Amino acid sequence: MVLALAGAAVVASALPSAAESGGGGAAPARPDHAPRRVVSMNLCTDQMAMLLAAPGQLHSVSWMASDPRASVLHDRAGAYVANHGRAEEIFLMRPDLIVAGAFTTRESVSMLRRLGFRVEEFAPPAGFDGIRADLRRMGALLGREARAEALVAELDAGLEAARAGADEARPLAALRYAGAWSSGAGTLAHEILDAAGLRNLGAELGLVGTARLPLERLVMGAPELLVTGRPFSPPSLSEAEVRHPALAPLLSRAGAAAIADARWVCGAPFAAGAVADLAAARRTLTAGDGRGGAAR
Amino acid sequence: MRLPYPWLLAALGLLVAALFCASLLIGPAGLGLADGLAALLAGRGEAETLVMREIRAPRAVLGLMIGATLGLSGAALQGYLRNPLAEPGLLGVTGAASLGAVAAIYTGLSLLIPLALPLMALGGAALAALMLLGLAGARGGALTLILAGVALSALCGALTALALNLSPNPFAATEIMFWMMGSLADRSWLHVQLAAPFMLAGWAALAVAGRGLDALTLGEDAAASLGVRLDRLRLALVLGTAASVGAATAVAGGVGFVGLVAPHLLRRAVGARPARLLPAAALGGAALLLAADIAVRLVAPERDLKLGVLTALVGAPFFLRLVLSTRRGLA
Amino acid sequence: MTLLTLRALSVRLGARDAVRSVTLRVEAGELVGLVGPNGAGKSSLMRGALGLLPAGGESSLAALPARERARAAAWLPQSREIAWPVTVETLVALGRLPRRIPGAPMTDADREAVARAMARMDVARFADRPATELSGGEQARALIARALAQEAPLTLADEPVAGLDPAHQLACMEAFAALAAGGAAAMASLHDLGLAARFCTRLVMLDRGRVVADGPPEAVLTAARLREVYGVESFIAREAGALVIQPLSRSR
Repeated sequence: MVLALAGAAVVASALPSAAESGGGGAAPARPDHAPRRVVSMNLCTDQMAMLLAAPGQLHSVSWMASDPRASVLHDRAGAYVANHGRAEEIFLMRPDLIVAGAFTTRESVSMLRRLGFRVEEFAPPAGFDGIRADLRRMGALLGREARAEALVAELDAGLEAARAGADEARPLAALRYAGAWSSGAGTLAHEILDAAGLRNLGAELGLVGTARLPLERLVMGAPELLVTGRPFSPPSLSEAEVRHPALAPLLSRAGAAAIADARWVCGAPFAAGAVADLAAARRTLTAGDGRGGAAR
Repeated sequence: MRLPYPWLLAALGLLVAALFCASLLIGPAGLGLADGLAALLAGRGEAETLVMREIRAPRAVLGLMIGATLGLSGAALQGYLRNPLAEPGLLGVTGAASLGAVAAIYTGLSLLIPLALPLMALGGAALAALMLLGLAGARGGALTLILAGVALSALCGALTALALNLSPNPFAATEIMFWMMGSLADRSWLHVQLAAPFMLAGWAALAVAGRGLDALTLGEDAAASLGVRLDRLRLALVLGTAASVGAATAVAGGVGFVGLVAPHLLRRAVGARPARLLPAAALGGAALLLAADIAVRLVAPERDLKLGVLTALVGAPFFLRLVLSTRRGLA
Repeated sequence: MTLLTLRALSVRLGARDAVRSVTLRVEAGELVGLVGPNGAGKSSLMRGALGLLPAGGESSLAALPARERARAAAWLPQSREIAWPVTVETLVALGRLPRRIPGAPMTDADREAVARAMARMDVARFADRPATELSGGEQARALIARALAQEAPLTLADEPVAGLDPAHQLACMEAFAALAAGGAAAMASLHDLGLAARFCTRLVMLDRGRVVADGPPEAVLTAARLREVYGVESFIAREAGALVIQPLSRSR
């Protein structure tokens, strides 16, 4: 899960124009011109659309939206027709707006464009500013600007609540996902840690974007909190590395927090929930003299 | 002038020892020589000790053992098949072990049981051995064994591709692909404990094959007339390769070309005698793999360059050169 | 002393009966020439006798365990395979494998046997050269030396003189004759009937898998039989006490 988020985030930072080219030309739609039959092809756009759309406006979301391991809103996804991101099935749905991820199902998206559909693409957000911009853009597309502003305000309120006081300690945390991946500066995960009042070992070691954090450097960095992504559906084969014996002493001393991947992947307002969880873990750490708390 | 055989083995042994030490002392944590040694030997500094004893030591030991396995089994297979282009992967054992590992990842077993992945890889290798022996028949010669291995490799490759194709999500597929590239990064003593018994048993089976391989220099008929039991030789070879290469693949994924290159580099130096090539190629394989594993840490430490990718990058041009020289030899 | 006993030996190659119920014995002191046209079953007979091909009937050699058989009989196959560029000396020394304890170094007796065999086949001067770099005839001689170095009571050779120059053909036959004279025995398939007649103490002629004649060369190699079995007209004479045979033209 996180691995792919990682890949997408790396590409996103390398190609900033990809998202803008999708959004730049879209004039803000007025409510009376708002699309009536919207199809979303990507987990992230699924969740934003479910939060923002007016009743009856959203017709279909991707099949991943109903996977509890990937989707925060999985219990709401059942209300929509599930699609598998293929041009043929989406063509038959006759949508007047298609929202899609910037890096998935590329062929299907270009096919749909050739068939004359309006497709809007969203790149994975690289930070909270990106989340705010995505929410506002999606709100404008759906003619739901007021709802978008409300969600942005909700996000900001959540971040404010989690913020560390000036006098509070900022413990060192390390992010580690399957496959030795970690997040450095310029990633949403880094901003989530920062917002929760945690320092990011990856960024302090000079990692930029999503990069590998060798086990040795993790052990030598001696973080006070180890934040792991939870394995995404069947196999995350590198989970074995997370259980490497060399991490055992670190884990017995430091805190460990497993954050559901679903909340990191797309951000959206859920990122505030991840921030709150991590802030709680931080407070347990600083209050309990280092004995770790686990956040879900 | 050729180095006398005992001197050659001693020189190779020294090279392996030096690379083993280098492997212990090189890593992204950037420990100094003195700090590293103090941590390794005296346990000075908690994090340093963890890095040296729990991360680097098992990695170096696995590098040594897997390299030796690939070199030894490569030399044994080249001797048996009387072909310098043979390598352990040819028998399909690597493919079958990979398939077992992929099945462990795919079914989620690798999450439930910590060692499910290497255990299933070993199971795949064992199954491959049985199928090879069944396919090649009681009196089948070297050619039958190659064909059986090729068929088995193709089948395993197809099933692995199927698992990737039907993988429940793209991230699982990515992880399967990364695993199959082969790596020694972050392996622990658990991996050593799991793989070592199979590797040692495999080495024992391959080591006794030397005499028969020497006789095979004269062809299968002449070897049989010299008292070599070809059926037993093949059994030792298949089981030895399956156990040792299966275990190597189970903990490190597929690492190609070492088993091809190591015997070839040393063949002249041992006077081309297959039995003498076995220990030399084992040491040579260990040296090559340790060097490659050091190189991946030096060349691109932050990018986690995969060991199998590096050995293939270096090994494939070597293979091409070998093909060309073989062609010249035939002309 | 009987070194090989075959009783009703039969070999099938695919759908073909290559050897049909052959019964014969080879005694110490004999140099047996196995003659007959292509496809008569000469190679199959020897390979079946050695247990290298599944065979019906009985063979005293095939019945032995592999190690003992290797000490009882040496085998020189027709295909001259040398898989690796080992030195000629190493190649010849492979003949000593059945007599050596696994893992032990060569004894003086082993080294002497290798030296004798190399001298016999005139390859001692190539001792340190890679065998794969020799000419075809030189390789053939090195391989014969390998079989001689085995010093088995019985040596079986499949067309040992093919591809040798006349001098080395004679040297090869002399080596086999010396084996026989020394109390051992040899059996060789031969196409050169002149050499067969000159050196062999006994000839066994095969045709379509059966023994059609078995006895001293002058009894086996008659003009009528050569016409019948090979389909050739031959010149047969005695010259200085030796049989001289020259095929002249094809019959029919």
